[in-house]
Amino acid sequence: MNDKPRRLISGILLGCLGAVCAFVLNNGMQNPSGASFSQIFTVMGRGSKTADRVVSQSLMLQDQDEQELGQRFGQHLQQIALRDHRCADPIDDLLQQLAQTAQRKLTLKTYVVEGGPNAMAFPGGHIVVTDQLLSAIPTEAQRSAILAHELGHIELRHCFDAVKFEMTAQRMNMSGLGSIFDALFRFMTHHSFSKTQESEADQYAFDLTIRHGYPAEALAESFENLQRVARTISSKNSVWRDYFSSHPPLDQRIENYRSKAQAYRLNHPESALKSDTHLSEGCETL
Amino acid sequence: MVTFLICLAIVCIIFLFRKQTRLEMELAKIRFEMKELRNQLHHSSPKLEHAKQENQNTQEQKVPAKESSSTPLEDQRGFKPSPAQVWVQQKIKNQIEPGSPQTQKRRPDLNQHFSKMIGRVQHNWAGILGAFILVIGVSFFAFLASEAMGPLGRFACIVLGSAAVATGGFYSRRKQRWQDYSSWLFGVAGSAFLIACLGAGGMTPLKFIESAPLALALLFLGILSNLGLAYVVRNQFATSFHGLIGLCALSYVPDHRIGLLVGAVTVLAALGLGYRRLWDKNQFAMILGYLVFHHFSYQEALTQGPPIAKLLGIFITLLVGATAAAIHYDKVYQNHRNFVWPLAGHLLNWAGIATLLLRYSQNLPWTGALVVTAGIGLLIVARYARFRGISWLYQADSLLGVLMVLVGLFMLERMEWNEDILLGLACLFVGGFSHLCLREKELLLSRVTLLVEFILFLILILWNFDPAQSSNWSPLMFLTITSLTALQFKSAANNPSFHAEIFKGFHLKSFFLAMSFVGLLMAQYTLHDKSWGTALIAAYGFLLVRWIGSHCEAESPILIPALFMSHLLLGLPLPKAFSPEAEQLWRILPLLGFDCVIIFHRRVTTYTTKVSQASVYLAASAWALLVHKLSYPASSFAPSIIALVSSVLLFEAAVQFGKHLNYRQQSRWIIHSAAGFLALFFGYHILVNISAEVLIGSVSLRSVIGGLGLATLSYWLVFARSLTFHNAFPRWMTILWEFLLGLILLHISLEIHQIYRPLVLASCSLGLTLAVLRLAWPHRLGVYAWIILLVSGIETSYILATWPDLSIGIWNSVSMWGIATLLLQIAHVYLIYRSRFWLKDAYQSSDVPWIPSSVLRLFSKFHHGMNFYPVFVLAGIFCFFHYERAVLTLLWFVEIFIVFVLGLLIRNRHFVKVAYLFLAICSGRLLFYDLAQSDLTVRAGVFVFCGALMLGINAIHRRFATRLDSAKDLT
Repeated sequence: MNDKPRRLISGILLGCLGAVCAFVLNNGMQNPSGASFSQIFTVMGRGSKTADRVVSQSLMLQDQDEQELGQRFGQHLQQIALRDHRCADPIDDLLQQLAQTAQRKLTLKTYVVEGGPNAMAFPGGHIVVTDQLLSAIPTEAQRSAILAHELGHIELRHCFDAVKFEMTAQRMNMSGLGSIFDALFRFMTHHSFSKTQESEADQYAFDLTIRHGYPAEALAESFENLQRVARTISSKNSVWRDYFSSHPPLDQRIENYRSKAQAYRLNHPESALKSDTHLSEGCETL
Repeated sequence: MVTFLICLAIVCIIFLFRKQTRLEMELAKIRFEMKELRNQLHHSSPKLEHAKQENQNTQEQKVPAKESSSTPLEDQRGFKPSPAQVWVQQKIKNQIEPGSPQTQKRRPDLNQHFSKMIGRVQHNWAGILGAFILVIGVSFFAFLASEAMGPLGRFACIVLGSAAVATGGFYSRRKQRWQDYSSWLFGVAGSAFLIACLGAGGMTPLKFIESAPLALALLFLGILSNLGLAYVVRNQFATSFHGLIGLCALSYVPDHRIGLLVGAVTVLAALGLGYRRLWDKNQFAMILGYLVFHHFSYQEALTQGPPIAKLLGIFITLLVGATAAAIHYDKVYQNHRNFVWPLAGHLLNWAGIATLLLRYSQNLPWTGALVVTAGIGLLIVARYARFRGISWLYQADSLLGVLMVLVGLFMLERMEWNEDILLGLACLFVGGFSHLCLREKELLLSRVTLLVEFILFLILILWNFDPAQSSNWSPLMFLTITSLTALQFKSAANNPSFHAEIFKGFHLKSFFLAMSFVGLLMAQYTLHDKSWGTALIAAYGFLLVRWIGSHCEAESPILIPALFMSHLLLGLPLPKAFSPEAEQLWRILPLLGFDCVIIFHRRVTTYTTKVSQASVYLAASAWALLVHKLSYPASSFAPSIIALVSSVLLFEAAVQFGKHLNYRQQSRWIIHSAAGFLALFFGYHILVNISAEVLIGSVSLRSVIGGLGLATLSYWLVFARSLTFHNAFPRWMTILWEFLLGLILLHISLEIHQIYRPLVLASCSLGLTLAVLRLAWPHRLGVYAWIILLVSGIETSYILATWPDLSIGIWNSVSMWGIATLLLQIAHVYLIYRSRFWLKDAYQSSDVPWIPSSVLRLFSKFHHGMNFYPVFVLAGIFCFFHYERAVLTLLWFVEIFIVFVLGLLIRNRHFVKVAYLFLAICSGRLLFYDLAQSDLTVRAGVFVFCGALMLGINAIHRRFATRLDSAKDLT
């Protein structure tokens, strides 16, 4: 057998590998989040997420069903919301502005409540933002990014997926049985699956903030601000946390969307000036 | 309540239909076989004629008959049959025997039936429509007549009607010809009477009794009469049917405690009546119905009821569950081969008992302990099943018992037990049970418990890898597990033939040994730098090695562990190498030299090859550790790249060594180590690289490294034949194709946006199919291409179709990419049909041995179902979810048109038939749904367009129908 082609190709391959190795060693390139299973869990979760979506879609439920279910959450949230909070109205306006591009026919509403820095979406289009989060994230662009993330959960039917059996059972007047099925389904698919959903919502938020003319870095910056607060709570890394945590690690998300923003800037140099202007206006508004 | 009733009624109706369909199918089969038989008797020309002639001759002779005792083929009158008679009789025998291959091969020609049906439909539109209208008219008349009567009159009508039907049932029981229908008639009579009894006290149109006790008594009378009918029929199906409708009726009883009690009596009675024969699916349905009923009752009454209600629920659960379970411990199941239904019923029964009892014992702090106790109890019950010789029951109960104990153990976490201890206990429990199964040679149980043991052991290792999570008990746990696996090793060494059976091709003995040593290493690691502990563990390890060695037959198992232990003593413990102390390095380097001496020293090599082999692997491991130690702190991406470099270098080294006769074996081990470096690359890539979004310019670094990994894998695959000449390249390494594909799919999943991902997946599957067809890549890649095509289709139809579209221009929209993906998928299907690349070819090739033969048969039989239907259906679903309902029919018509044209292009009748079938369905939707639902303008547009399309289809069919006539059957 002629060894020349093999040797030549192996030589080229070794050369390329050596060059890249030298480059990364020379620049001291590091993965800021270190070794983590979170990304592979996110990728693996796509299978269960797709299966979940197939089940949800096959149940033939409408937006109206979710809206009806969401009314219960709405009533409860109305009771605990801080109506006099100075940001309550602006944040709702911001959501309505973002929701112009929304495709689902839901009545979206925000509620400012007391609590640690967090935001969450509920079935039926209800978004809850805590007062501590609002104080941790000062600019309009960053708040838009957070709202866009929660809007992503609603638009991508994640809330809908979580209560699909309950909604189906409610039609048959057996909501108890439906909630058991939902809980069972969540138990089976939750850990990897929710990280996949969070990644999807992040991607949606990134796209939406850019679509609305906010800086591409808004999402990463909002995560940075969140991390600054969250770091005081927990910063421990472990394989188990990667599996059991519902969200990808914050430092990974920051790195991810910083790089995406950087790539976006490189591909769309004209967007830079407009976005920066918008950012300063946003700071004054809120 | 109504919903529950409807659900149970649907279940009953489905059962009735299933039964009827099966009877009809069997009748049709018998008719068909009779017809075939008659034809063959008629056409069996010379032989049959000759046989007939001989028959006539024998009749003419009129010899008195003898007893037919000599041979089965011998004539009743005692004459030996002629060869022709033997042939005909054999043929008849073969055809009548249900399992004969001839019977299996002959099936009615579905194509003919389909053509006839299409023909009839084409010519009988008016008749079908007329019949439909007539049925609706009669229904209206019956409705009007019932409106005129009072509740008592309706009740009397139903009771009289049911009595008449029951009389018919009794009459038909006496006639042999109608005997089969008697159970149906009894079923109808019983259910009608029950409805009347129920309605008399609770349904407005039939209600004439106001007194609650009287209504209740009448209902019980109805249930009792149904059970009586079940007793008369003496048929399991009828028993479960009557029992189930009784439960349906009881769900209407307002007092749920009485309802539950009577329900339990009904179920027990039905089980008792049905137990005259073996347990089957009807009993299964009965238990299922009871569980649903009980859950319903629990939901409605017992949650808010007094404690006595809960106690009643628990008592009834245990009573019914124990009765249902006890049936299985009968000896009749000892040699019962068809145990699928009993098993399903048994599992369902246990699951039901467990669910109900868990619900009743909610909020108890000791639930975990109760579950563990119940699990151990179940294991004891399982031993009883083993004692009775019912193996399937023993296996099922044992698995359930193990599962319950494990669940219970993990539930103990609520009582603030240390997770580390719980994991260790779970591992020990499963290990002990697997050891018992190995000793008793229980194949299935051994397989399952060993797998669970391994998984738990792995989890225990991962858990303890984090020093913060391990406790003081961890070393003891690991030492106990090590001792247990050593015992398992001894068991494996003493009984090699059974252990070889457990996981075919897997060296279980070595696996136990590896587990023992990993356990030892972990025991040392969890000591956390307590030097006295290391010495203790090393001493224990040596004792263990000696013990293992004394129980083993050959020299190798003692030498390899000894080598491992020497490394342990010299300070190579794997976790230590990951620790940040740089001074550990000096311990690795001498070992590298030590291993190299062992590998290449002639005397050592000839003395024992096993030692040399182990040293190659150890040297590779030491090198991997060194690389990690040196390069990871400098850059977290470097180790993965160096792993790739090492794999290429070792590959080249293996080729060079393979050229020398003396070093062929070393060459083989080196290629194994090179493969290990590839695996290491994958480990680093998954753990470190893919979670980093570091950019080089505008390209992400993980893509660059992924690309390099892809190039290295391709290099391996292309030049694998350089090593095959001396058989160094193992056959299992063809799995590299799977790694290659996995890497590509991983990067598609990571880098490609959701909107474009289905398109990229579809392209990937098309590319793979093309590579298999044109470049002669392994056939199994065609199978993977099919899977990717399916995934792409599902992603398009269910994810992309509902994805929020944030694009500005049409060229970037979801619709655009969705349609492009659909077209690519259709092109893929077209390519498959055009090149006749059925998946059965891929499955029939020997390179996918892990696919079960049943799947293989499925694929070879339903290639339309595997290739054409998924794409066709998923494209329809995409249109359904993504576009407005008003234009949906129009889009489906377009899809049908495409399928129709494709069918003509590739001359496939099946495509055309399916297109026509769906054309009929869509026409129905057009007439009955769109006519009422859509906006006028849209409706007009849709109707015009669909009409034109149908005309077009008609015209094309007329013009090109000859293509189908001249087509060969490609399938």
